[in-house]
Amino acid sequence: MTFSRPPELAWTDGARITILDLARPDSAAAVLEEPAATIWLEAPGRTMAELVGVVADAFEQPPAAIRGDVDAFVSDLVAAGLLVSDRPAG
Amino acid sequence: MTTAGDPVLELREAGELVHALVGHRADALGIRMLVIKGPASRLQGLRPPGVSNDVDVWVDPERRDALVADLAAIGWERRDEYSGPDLIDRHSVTLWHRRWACEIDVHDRFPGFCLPPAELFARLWEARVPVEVAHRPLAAPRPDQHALLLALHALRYDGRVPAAAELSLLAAAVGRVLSPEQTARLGRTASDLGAADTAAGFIDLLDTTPHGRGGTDPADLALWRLVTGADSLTSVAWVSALRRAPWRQRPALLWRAVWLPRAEIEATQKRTLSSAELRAYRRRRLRRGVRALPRALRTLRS
Repeated sequence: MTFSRPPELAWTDGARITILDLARPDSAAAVLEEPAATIWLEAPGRTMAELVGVVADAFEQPPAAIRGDVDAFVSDLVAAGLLVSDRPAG
Repeated sequence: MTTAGDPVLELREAGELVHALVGHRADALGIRMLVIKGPASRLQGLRPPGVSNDVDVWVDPERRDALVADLAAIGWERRDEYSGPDLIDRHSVTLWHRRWACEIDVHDRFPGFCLPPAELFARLWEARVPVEVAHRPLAAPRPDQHALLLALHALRYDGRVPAAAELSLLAAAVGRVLSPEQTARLGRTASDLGAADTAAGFIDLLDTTPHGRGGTDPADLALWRLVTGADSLTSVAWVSALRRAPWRQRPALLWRAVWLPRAEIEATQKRTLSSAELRAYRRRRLRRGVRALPRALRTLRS
């Protein structure tokens, strides 16, 4: 299973990322600071294991030490509509 | 992760996201829309890095009200509550939203481009170029046309030092961004958009041959000169309205000129005022009006 971004997101770059779901104009923009921003930016097209590896490298942490936090945060992102889980067909 | 409640966005962040939002709404309604000034002009290299206070979009004149109504449905309210007289048609509707730090100016024309609005927009739309703001695809005027728009915006404040500085910066940017051939054609481009005379102060700064000078409708040119030359366009508008009004209506109109309603003042100040602030504002307005009166009368006579 990999992740992708919903098609109707707009976001700004910079020291932090702000994201607006254009399909839900009444919702507030989300603000992601590090390391949350890196996780959101790097998630598309990756599996959870791959994402943990990338984040571990970026922040020089052992994968095992961050796996639980990354997993929980990605679940939050999916619940907030900022990421989509792409289950393989079949 | 995300902030509970509404996070405080920087003006740049809010501006970029609102560009994307307006573009998305217009697209969903099939409304042709160009983003102007702001990030689009910076992406094109026409303005130096910076942050804009407003989101400026230019839409198909026949569909502007539809877009404004759609934005109203998601909380964007009209800001322009000015109820006094106008000498020129309003070129934009200003919208604000309690959640967002920036306002949206929805244009359906632009002062200085002396063509019928629908024809003007069609010419800009036909030449549009893609830009990406907040990772969303949007359309902007072609850089040479956009440069003319920015020049007209600066020329509206002709005679002030910042305007001269802005025009010089823009002329330098044009030299970097446009090819020599595009720059050489800029005089003709201005003419094609009805800005041969109004943009003359900018064209003359460039290595281009003026084209179509003297062809602007005298009434359009007179209004443009009024916009760029009067110390207080508002004063001229009020004096003009007073002169046109029947004698019996003049006392009430004069009172309105001096004594703007609270809602209108607060709309221009963008905040709620105390009674003392309101009195002080009206005193200042009265003093400004009295000072501007002689010139307003001269402007109208000419």
